Amino acid sequence: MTAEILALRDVRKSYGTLEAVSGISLRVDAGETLALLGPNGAGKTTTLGVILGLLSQSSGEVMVLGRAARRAVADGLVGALLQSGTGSGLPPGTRVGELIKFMASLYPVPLPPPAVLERAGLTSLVGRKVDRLSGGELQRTRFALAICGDPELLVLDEPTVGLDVPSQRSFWQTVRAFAAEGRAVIFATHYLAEAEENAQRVVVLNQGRIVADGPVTDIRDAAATKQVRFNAPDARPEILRELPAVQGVRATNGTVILDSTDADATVRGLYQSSIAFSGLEVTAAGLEEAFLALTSQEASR
Amino acid sequence: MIASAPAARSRRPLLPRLLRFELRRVLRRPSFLIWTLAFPVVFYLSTYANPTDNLHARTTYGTTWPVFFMVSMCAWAAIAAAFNAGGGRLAAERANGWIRQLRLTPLPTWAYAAGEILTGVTLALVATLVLAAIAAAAARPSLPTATWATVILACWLGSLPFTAIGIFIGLVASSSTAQPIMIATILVLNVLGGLLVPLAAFPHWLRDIAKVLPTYRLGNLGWNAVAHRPFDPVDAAVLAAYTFVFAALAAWRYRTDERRSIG
Repeated sequence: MTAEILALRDVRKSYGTLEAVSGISLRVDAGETLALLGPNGAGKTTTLGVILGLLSQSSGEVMVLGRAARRAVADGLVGALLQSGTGSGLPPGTRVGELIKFMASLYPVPLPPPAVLERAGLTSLVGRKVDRLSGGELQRTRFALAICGDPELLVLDEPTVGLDVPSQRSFWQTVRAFAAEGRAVIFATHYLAEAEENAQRVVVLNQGRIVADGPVTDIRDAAATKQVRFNAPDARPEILRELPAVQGVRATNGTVILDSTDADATVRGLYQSSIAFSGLEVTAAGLEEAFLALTSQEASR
Repeated sequence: MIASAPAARSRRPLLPRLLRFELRRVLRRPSFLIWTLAFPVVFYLSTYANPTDNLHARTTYGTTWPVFFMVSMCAWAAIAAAFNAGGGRLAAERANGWIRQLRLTPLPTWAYAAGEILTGVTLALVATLVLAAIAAAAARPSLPTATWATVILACWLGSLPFTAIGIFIGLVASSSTAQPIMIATILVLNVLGGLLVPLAAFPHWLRDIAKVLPTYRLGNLGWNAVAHRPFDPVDAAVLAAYTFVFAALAAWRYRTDERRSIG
């Protein structure tokens, strides 16, 4: 059995009447790298906030290494790199080396500062003032802060937003190397490609709920889904579901939307069937539809 | 034998480490020293270095004017340093995410708060000493060593409520408004507290207001010392009350701010 690092059980979080997270259950084991994928407002940041103990959940249970989230942070078992908006997230007036040394000194069992600097690729920037770092250097420094305590769980919230492509690539190389040491990494992103390239497992969030949870390959297949849309007021869902390659069927006010893994086959099947239809349209499914298709796959298994 | 045992680390205790880290950062910023020391040094030197002024001969509050004003400006420096140590910086660090990053380390809240307070009172001591040194060099007031020590100690300990108020403002204000609020608060409190113009020149109703201000109470500790009057326990009580109230407000605000720190 692998070691459980993180467990969420039916976690909900509401702000007033708005429920940002609506019952999430999730288990992450040591060595897993998990991407939390979803559009803006899906509840990713709130979920991470609860995992880190920055927010307290309205209901449900959060356990990090068998203890409350806040406790796990206080015990120095968790490292995090969160979105900092327009700010750098670093204290002005310090030098990179000083900052890492200070941060490491706050943890019970830190990584030695030279090792932190090396992993984050900052060795040549030790004497640099943090106010004078480029975007990529800044993010590597913030990553360094997150790993100072030699964490069992590393949490990253959209860590490459605003970075150029080479900086993104080198950032993820660093993260993957760190994850390869058997630590659990959970990161939020709204880019499918970023999730695919850097995670083994993808959890898709939408409107505060998990709509899909599976290996990266499943998500990739789901993302290949197309939507076939037409008007057919008399079509019966049971019949539509029998069409080739159809994963999901939605019909409202005579408009039918089919999620298909092979749109050509579905359309061919539609013409050969006895269904009366008009206004045929085929579109690439949005990520959201892809996720929905995936959930219906899960349900039919 | 455990091969992978972490290497023995010789570590200084937490608070000195925090203090060193914060002091180094603050002192690297020239704006801190300018905002803190420019006013009292310029006020002091311009008032003192004006030889035609008959102020020098005047007796104020049981002592000579130059000594009285020196104490006022030492208090001013201590107050401004204590304010500026926390205030603007804290607001900026709340906005840029650094405070949140610290919340994600094992650093306990009490230690963080203690570190900020310690930073404030240390900078207040440094500012008081600088002012006292300038005054001593310029005016050579003949004060007994014990009186010097009392004035400096009064400014130092009396800076505590201002550290608390500064931290509170830093936790409430936005990063762009904190600095102006801070400067305005220092000016208003210091002038109303009689640090620029003695209370004797105030109308009666204004004197009554001044007497509940922490700035007047801090000044009064020093003025009593140089005039060889006894220590007034009301001074200490008022300063302690301000410290307590603003520390409590800051603690409350820190906690509610925590909930706000993530979207």
